[in-house]
Amino acid sequence: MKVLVVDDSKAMRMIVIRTLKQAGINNLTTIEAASGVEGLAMVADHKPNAILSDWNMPEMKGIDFLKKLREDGNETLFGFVTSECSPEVKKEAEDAGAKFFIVKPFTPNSFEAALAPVLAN
Amino acid sequence: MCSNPLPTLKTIEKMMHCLLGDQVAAKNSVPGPDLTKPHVVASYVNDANEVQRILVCDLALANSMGAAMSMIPAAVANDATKAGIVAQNIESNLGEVLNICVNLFTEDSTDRLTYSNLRVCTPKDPAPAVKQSVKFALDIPRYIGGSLSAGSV
Repeated sequence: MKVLVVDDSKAMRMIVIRTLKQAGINNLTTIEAASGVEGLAMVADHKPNAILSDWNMPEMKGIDFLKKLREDGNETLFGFVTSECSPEVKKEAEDAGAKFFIVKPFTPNSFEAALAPVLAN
Repeated sequence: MCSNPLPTLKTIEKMMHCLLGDQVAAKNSVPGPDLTKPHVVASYVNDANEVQRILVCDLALANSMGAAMSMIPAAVANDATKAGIVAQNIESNLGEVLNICVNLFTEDSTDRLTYSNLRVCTPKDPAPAVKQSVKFALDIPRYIGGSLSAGSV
């Protein structure tokens, strides 16, 4: 499974990838982007199976990244990994097509709980 | 009026375990960060961009938290502390830690707060006055620990 991790913090991308591995995702390969703009290019070039994106990023916010993907007809499985946790933000994410929402700080268990149901489908 | 709570020892402990590992130890501590020396202040604002909550930590602890996040050697953090700064390669990590720490203030609350910025304060350039605060001491294995306080502005 190829997962694109999008976060402007290099350290956070590293931690997300480490946590994905600890959560026991099978046959995991990861690619990284530092913004929504970079993420769009990575999706076009590498066609990931899933995208985990931060919400607040320079250049293009995660929600705008998701909306642009859907506008372009791309239906790649998409979820947020973010410190934003208000009900309004979660609703905006769901309305735009996000399938899961992981709040920072996270644990391998919170990754597993969020990802297992969507990966099962 | 902002209803966001100040963190408890339990929420601080849980946050630091998730961010920096289960070996981080936290305890209640008085008097808190030494404001006569350089210290780091993180501001959290409401939707009107008004500062509602701040986190204050000893410079050494700030450098240690940022370094520990991606295992930057402790010597880098310690040298920056001696120079009275946050190391350049630690600052983005520290910003990420402090950004995530917004959730110390959002449990059981519906008021939205967002992390605004961090700055190094000194007695000549002090942090905003707080109405109420809670104080903790953190010990991060292999790094210099220190004090942290969370306050309402």
